[in-house]
Amino acid sequence: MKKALVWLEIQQGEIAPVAWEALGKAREMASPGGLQAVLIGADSAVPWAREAVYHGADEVFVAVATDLALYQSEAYSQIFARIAQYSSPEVIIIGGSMLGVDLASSVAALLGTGLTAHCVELTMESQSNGEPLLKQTVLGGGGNMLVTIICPEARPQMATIARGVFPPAKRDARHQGRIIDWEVKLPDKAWWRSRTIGIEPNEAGGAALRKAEIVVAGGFGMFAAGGFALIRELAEALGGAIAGTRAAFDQGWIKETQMIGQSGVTIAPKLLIVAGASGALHFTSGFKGAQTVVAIDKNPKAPIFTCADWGIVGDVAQIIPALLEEIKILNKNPR
Amino acid sequence: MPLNTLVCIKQVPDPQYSHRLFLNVQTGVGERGGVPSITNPHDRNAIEAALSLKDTYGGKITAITMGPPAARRVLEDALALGVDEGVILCDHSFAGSDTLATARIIASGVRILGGFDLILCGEASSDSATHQVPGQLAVVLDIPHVASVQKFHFTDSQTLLTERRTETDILLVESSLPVLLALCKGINEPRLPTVAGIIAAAKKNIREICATDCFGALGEGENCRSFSKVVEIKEKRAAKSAEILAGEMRGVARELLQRLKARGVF
Repeated sequence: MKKALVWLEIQQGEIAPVAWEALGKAREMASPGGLQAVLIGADSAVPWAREAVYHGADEVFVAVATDLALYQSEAYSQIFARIAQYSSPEVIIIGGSMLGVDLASSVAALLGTGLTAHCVELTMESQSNGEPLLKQTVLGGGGNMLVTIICPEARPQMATIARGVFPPAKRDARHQGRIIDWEVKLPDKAWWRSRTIGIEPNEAGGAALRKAEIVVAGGFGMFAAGGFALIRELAEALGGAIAGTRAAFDQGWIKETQMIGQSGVTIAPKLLIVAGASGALHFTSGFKGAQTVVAIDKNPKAPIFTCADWGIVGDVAQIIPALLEEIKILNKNPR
Repeated sequence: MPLNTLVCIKQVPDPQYSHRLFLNVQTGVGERGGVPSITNPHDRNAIEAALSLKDTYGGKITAITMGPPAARRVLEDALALGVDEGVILCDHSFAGSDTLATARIIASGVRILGGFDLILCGEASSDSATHQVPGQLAVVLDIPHVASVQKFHFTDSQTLLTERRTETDILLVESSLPVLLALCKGINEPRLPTVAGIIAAAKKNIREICATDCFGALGEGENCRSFSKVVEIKEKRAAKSAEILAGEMRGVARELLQRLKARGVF
């Protein structure tokens, strides 16, 4: 039986979105009955075990202790590694959040195996000897290439997944699975050489932007249109949030919390309108999960049009006002 | 309390020219095509953090890098800023190492050098950007680490309090020395070298460590082989091509809104 093991990261009291995405992807890698999840935390984590089963997990290891309420890098990774050694999964898939990358890196070092970061595709193939091989694909070479990596010998095969690329695991309350209480033996206080002792909300984390259903983003191309005023107007007219590229941040038009991309916020709104951004990969990778994308740019060859559903080629200074006028009309006669 | 600090740095292609980079499909190794090399931007923040600590507490800073001979340049630049000693881990067999192999090689270097109170790294390199090496280095060395650090200070001579960023929160982490910190980009303003610093750098030492040196310093059961390897590289084909709405501006705007309405977006 091919087992796939996943970490169910808890973020602000809920399972992190990328963890559900990891669980969904791992389902494809595992044999029936072989999808396993790990929950680490304090008592408040326990109810999520049942949710994990409803989302497809066949077995959920629950490792709970008061001292584990907050993320503890060493304790969490050692617990996860011990569960992995006990269960011997074929693959370990962890969501590529900041904590996920931290946990996965430590676990891979503890287990002595390879780890591929921020995968955008994962497929399980059968080798000639019948052994399963995980093909791990990442973006590389300045962002223009797809690079496929394998870990031919060491086991388990480990990968973190890029956020917002894979769909989350579907929920079905009829699904059944086993919940396993994992005994936690923590070292005594004298050993805790590094300990998370407190938590504060990260105002600069972009949480508000991530929740927005409609987002209007602008790039350097707004410079010729006099800056971000048009972006702000369009966002207000649509009831959406404002965002932008790194260039927009460097210009001072947006805060870091509003910057989309590889080193910024990842969003997956219902609608994203991008104006005046050519579509560099480190920007576009931040909205792979967006459902509908509209791009506005003066360059018909701009890469942004390969990431959009609909595009308008032309001057943003003329197109956005036209949109605003039409929105006004639509609001007056909603039919 | 003088500190013995190690800064791990990397020479990378200048990210400004990333569009000129390509991967050699045959070898799976990056080709720089005339792109200039610089010190990884995150690492400049790590160097500055070390220099600030030395300004306050005194002590010694060593900079270490793993790379080809050309990577000596980042060490020379670090020495000119005030770092005391440079170390280059250089060997043909190190090329193309995955993150754990890299961590093990650097760890061997650390053991040869005798250990440190504090190890500072940038949290990621601008080229491979895995964010994996710092944490793996700490695990291999069996010391604690804190990643994505946006602020830190000493609460006493053996204890650090750090602010560790996540997407949604800031974790407050208390650590005792020795500890490895992986720093967020832009947490400080890297100083520029002074003429006096550049002159002084000429008298400073860059030590070379090769593979055979490393083999003697590996942990039990360890080797420097990579577990991961690249098997295929292909050009990223555009996932979709946007349908371009053309025509008179207001008509196009109307058309777009109708389509969005039809999709149930609003």
